Amino acid sequence: MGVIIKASGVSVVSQDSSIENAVQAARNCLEKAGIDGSQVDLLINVGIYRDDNIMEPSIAALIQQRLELNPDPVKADMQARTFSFDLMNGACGFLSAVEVSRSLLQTGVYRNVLVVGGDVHPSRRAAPGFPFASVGGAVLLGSVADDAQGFGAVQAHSRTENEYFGYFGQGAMEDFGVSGRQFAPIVLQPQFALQFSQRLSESVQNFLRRESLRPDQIDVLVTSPIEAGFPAQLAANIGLPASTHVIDIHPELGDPHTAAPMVCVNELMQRGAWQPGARILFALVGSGITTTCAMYRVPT
Amino acid sequence: MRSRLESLGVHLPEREVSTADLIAAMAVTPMFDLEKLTGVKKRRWRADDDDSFTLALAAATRCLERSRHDASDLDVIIFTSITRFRNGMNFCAEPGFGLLLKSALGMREDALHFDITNACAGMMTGLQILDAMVRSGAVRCGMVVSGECITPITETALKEIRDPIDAQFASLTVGDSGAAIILEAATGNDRVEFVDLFAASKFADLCFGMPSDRNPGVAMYTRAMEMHAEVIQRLPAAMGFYAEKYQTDASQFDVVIPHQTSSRAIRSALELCEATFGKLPETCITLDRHGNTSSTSHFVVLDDYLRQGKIKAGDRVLMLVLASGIIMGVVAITVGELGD
Repeated sequence: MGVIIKASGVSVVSQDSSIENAVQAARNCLEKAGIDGSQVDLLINVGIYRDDNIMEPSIAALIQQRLELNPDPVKADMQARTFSFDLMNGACGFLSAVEVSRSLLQTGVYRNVLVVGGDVHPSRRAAPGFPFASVGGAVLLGSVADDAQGFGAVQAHSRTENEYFGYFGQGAMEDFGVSGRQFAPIVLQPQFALQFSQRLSESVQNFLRRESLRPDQIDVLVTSPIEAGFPAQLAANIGLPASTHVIDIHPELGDPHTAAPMVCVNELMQRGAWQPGARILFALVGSGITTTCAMYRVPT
Repeated sequence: MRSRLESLGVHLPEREVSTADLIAAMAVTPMFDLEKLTGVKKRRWRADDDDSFTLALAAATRCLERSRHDASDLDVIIFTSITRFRNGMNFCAEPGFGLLLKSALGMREDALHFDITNACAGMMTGLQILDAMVRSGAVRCGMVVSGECITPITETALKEIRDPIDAQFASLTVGDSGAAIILEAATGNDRVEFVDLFAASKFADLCFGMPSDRNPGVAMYTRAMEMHAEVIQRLPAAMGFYAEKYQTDASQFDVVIPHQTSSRAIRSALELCEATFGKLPETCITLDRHGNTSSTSHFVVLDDYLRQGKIKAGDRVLMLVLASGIIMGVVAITVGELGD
């Protein structure tokens, strides 16, 4: 069984609300997929920085509510139910959701898995110093019988060396004071972009060896838009040929963090770079340092 | 292929705090007898150096001690708490706790790790995911773990409750804990029979956990009346659907473990379940001693009953899930030899 991306979407008029942005991206995605919300069996939200620092319910449930995805199946029809949850793994959350979806799709219980992501400053206002672009992203995942199509195995790696590196979203509740709903304690460690680049390059090289792939077999590179030029640097580090399409959304958008891979997919589809048979390398990097890689073959 | 529950580890902090002590510390006297209404007599309370991470780590360590697996065997770790406190009361959004635990336990660098947040259904959501990953062959074995440092909401409620029917009353019923399970491929009769969860998101805004806007700290606000009037009333139809879908009923189970909210709420919920699912077997309750431990509740109860010998290998356990979202559903597990 292969896990394929059926459609993608982004928040068209992004707001300072992770819920609103995910709702917009999901609507955009479902419209392109040509399916009704009631056909979504599972909704996974991979966003981290959320409205008002809400801890429960899941942000996914609030998104599901706004999208009206089978909101009251006991009263309507228990055959059409939607399950939802938040999955958090920093900038690598999208590929974790893909890996989870593969197993859940394989059980045959689900057919359409909607993955959404995006981060905002919890205050729901533009906040100087918040390092991420407030953009929502969505993709609709489904399965095909041929396991040579779609996503291959997701390869994760983390090495912490007793010290966690990268984005550090942590702060004392005491310091939150009475404005805990507006507080986003994010520290970007110095030199993190360089460290991310080095670690990710190593991981990709290991991944390609393991998958017996040569750099010239990669048609498109999707990576975390840590800073402008980061994707090009990674492409150079791992020796991708000039013919590889390297997408860098940072100059235009900044870093949409958890939504970034979905925003990239949407952009590639719009540019016409999502061609049948194309081999796409997803190589994501986030706090930890954690790296996650997977190959995607666009269904033919 | 099916998965089985290979190991279970629960950690409860030693300190106990009685409901009477909490009431005595309140600025207003509740309109009703909280202990009598909820059935919560006492709950465990975090030590000064406990947090979500330490509670989870203690449970994970115990789970591994009881397991035939080493940390290096685990292909995935899924952290499933609502609370994300580390180094005391530091709220930590990233890096994820799955990663922190992975490195603290000494798991392989190439093992998968991620966090799931799904209110009190967190561990059950993790169980559903891990069950699917084992069955699909994506992993050989893995851990679902939660460290729920939830009594900070009690501290906020104690400061803020002014109204005799305050939305923060449920915050007085919670207790701290950690729980961890390991799943692997089943070879015998003990196995995860089915997991079926859904979100009735029409009711997603009936219960919120978030920072307070009146004091430093976190709070939980529950619209309990609507929960009872609307959500609970949906149980008969939902349970009737499950009975038909899985060709099962109450007679197929040896015990039932409900989410540990309050004794009165559990009683009325189970009566509604029985309308379509049949007369339920023994109901497992530890909320009198542990309170509502939120995402760990079913496993805190399972561990307690196993240690008391009230649940034995071969027993068929029905777990009823009810969580903010609103997440509803059932988990059915035939347990094997667990424990020391």
